[in-house]
Amino acid sequence: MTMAKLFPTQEIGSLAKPAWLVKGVRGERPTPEDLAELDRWAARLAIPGTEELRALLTAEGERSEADRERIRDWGALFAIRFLEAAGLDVVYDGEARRVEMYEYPVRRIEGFRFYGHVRSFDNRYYRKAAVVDRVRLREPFHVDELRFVRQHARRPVKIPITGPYTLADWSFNEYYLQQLEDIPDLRARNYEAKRRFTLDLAREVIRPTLLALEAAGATWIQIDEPAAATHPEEVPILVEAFNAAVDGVRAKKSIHICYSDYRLLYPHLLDMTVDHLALEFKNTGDYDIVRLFKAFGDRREIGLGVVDVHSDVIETPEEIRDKVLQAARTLEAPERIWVNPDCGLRTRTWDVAFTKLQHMVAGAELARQAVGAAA
Amino acid sequence: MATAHLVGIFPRSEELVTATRAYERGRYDAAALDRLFAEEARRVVALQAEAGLDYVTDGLLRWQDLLRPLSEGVDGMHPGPVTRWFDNNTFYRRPVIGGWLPPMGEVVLRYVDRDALAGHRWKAILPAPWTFAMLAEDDYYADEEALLLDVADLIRSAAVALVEAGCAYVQFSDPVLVARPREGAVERAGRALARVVEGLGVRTAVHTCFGDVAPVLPALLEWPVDEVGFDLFATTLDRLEGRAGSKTVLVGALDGRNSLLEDPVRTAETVRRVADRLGAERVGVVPSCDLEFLPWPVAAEKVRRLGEVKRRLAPAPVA
Repeated sequence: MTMAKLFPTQEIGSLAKPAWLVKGVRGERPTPEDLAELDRWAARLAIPGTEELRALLTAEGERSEADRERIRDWGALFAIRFLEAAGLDVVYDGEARRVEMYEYPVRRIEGFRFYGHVRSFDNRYYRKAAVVDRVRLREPFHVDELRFVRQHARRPVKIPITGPYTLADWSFNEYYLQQLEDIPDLRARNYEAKRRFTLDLAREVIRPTLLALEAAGATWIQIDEPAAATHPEEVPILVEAFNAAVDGVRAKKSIHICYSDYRLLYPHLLDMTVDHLALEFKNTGDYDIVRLFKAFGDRREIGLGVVDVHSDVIETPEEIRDKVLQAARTLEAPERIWVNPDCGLRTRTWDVAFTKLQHMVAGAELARQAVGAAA
Repeated sequence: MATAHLVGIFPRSEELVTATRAYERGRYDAAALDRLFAEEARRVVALQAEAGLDYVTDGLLRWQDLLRPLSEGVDGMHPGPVTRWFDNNTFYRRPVIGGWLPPMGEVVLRYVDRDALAGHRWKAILPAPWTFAMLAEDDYYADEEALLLDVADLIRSAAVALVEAGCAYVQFSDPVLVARPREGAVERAGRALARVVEGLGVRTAVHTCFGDVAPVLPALLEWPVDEVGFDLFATTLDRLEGRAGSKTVLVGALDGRNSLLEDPVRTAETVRRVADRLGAERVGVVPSCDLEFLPWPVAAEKVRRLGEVKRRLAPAPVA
């Protein structure tokens, strides 16, 4: 998927889930404030027919799985319209149906066991699973989700999926370590066990899922690998697994990597069969890193992070324009730059996220005008 | 007998996870959360005592990250952007230094559950000055050496306050030394730490993790601390060199980052092998790093196994 205009915009992660959606899926009743919020966004996004949703949310008695699924459908629809109304060129559903990017897929793979929560930072936590048996895909996931988005979206669609390296890195590795007890050096044993685990995930889980998504109409698949650069010595595993996962996949492929030192990925990243690199820049403020891609002769598209997803401070369109133009000058290839937030905006309220995305779209337009004026 | 103890932050229980999340959303009372932290600290202390650990910690349960008590309590800096904590899927807030750092390290006492530790021989854990300085964003000093000296004085003031509060052992965690090696770092880090530990009057240790200690271990064994620790899961055993001399070597032989439970017999053998290689007469067995990367029940089981490994180690002089 290519865009005729310069600096097209995209979202590259999840959105916060509205309270009515969270409670609806849990089987709880919304508060009047939750319903008022629903009405406010339905009006703002011009979403008709929400009487059905209100009825689902407020109905007495136990909520059926079918009703929960309808509520999830509404959650996805709101997110699609949200991203469209913000003006993005490529959209998805804000991952409205997924608990989060790790637990959702792991629960659909045989071989994992959850023990409890671990901390991400501050008072934020996630449930971390251990691989206790060889991994096996139960059935390809995200397929119905993609069909729903394709049916309702009015803009081109890109589907995100968590990559094999991140799934492995964010899990405890028990099974694959136990297969290698004859390696006495603990560090060497860990490396080989990680490699085997990641490749099994790539071949047995992610690749069949990507092929199923492609069969369901996916033309652009974003593989999320936020863990990509966390262990620099394991970047060869990341690349080997990515290539194994996308083997035979014809759709456009992007990789999303955030909160990383991108210097650590090169030169191995040049061997990755990927079309687009979506990266975080705003958090570090280091836009000069774009030089790295030029220095290594990497001619793939770059998704330039220009919005800090961990701050309520709203970036101005002018500030965003300047960052885009700075990167374009450095790269000397504006046609390869896409504009996006650093990561998903799930930690921001919808009001903050919406304004940030609107400013991002406006900033990209200003950059486009500046390039046009200079031409 | 060898010694055994923890080297970092302990995970929060599911109850504490739920409570801190609710607190964050304004649905949990601050006083109730404070009481829960105190109760959980007592539970973690009891767990360590029952496992036969030689020093206990309060689990550092109130610490949002290793640097936070200082970064949010000391004038001249504040907790800044969310930043990856070495090669973990865990993040810390980078201290942003915007002014002179006064030696007001006693602020750490606000984060210590002293009631839970009363009656126990307890250890305190602080960031080493090199690690703190290198992980901070300096918008004030513009001179790395000046920053390092003031950070050392700050951390010394924290250590002094902890000693006055009754701790018997202070560990200084220095992961940057091994995870982000840099020419000349060991000498400068060692000088800074020497400034911190001089005349403290309790046992002191430097502990490293998340990187291969082999290149710097001979130098660390010369530092003016009583014990030197490292992460065996990040170290290439065959390259481990150095003479322990009078130092206690703390072998990080239980993986703080993986849930697979170690076999105490094999782990004890590994610790012995490392001790022999370094000629260590005094040895301690510790987790490779903080246990906060594990869910609470797994971490608790690792503590029990830590005690078991200690009991299985051949008699050696007690530190």
